[in-house]
Amino acid sequence: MAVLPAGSNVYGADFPPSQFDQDWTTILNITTTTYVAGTPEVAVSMTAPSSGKVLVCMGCGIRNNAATTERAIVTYQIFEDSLNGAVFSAPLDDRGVKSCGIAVSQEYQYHGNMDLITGLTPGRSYYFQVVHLSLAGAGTVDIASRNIMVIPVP
Amino acid sequence: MTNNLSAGTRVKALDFPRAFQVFNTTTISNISTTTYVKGTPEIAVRFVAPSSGRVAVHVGAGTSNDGANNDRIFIAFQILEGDPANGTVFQSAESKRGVSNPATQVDRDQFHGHTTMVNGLTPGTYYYAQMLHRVTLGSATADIAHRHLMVWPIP
Repeated sequence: MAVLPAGSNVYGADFPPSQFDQDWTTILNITTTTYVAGTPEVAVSMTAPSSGKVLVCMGCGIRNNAATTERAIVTYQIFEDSLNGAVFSAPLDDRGVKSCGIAVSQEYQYHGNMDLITGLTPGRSYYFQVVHLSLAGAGTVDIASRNIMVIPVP
Repeated sequence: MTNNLSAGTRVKALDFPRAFQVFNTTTISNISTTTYVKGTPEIAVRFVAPSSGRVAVHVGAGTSNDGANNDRIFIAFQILEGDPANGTVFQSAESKRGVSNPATQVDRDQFHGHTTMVNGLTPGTYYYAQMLHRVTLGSATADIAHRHLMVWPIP
């Protein structure tokens, strides 16, 4: 057993460090209607804690730069082990951010969303990658910022 | 060295200090300031940085712009070292870490939030997280319906 000096703080070995990535490069005139990672990629990797649960908080700035109802979605997908691994969870619209689709040219609106991811295999590495798409592919929606944080939780 | 822990005792880390939040439903109407101000009442929490030096900061708010203009409103936060009276700014207010409206007339309040990480804090020391807001045009048409600030230590 480890020898602990008086006054030592005992830290749980279980919880790996939380991870955060953000990028404020604009992505303009988006035409993709299938999810893509964007440039630069915004992503983090983490070893799953014993609980198999992590809290994923993501956020972004989106606008539609035309008086149309075009919308964009920024969300994330999860791979096992690495970007080259099997898909653990495909992108879900509902756990991301979707722009408002009012038929008025807008400025960037910043906000976020969070979700609890469960069923991860403790000790296995996972890769969380931010992805985006536009609904109609009109080339009028823009992204100003993307961020993702993954926090191991009990 | 020995300790007084019985076999099977669950050791809980002393590491994580308290999480804090403030939720306030005071409306702030017809905002004209174009530089960040803290508003009345001030929404802020004082917290101790954990050993990881990392905290999650959540800001939430209800925002609207009931004017026929393109005024934008930003709700953000800053983090001061130590005491607010003499604290050095550790993390300045950044619109991309907060919430904002779409710069068009939206008469009804929109409720939303945003959570990001602040890292590099000095473990064991006090910090002061404070909500701030501003508008871009100063049209005095943007409003805040409520504000919510939460800070919790993370691994």
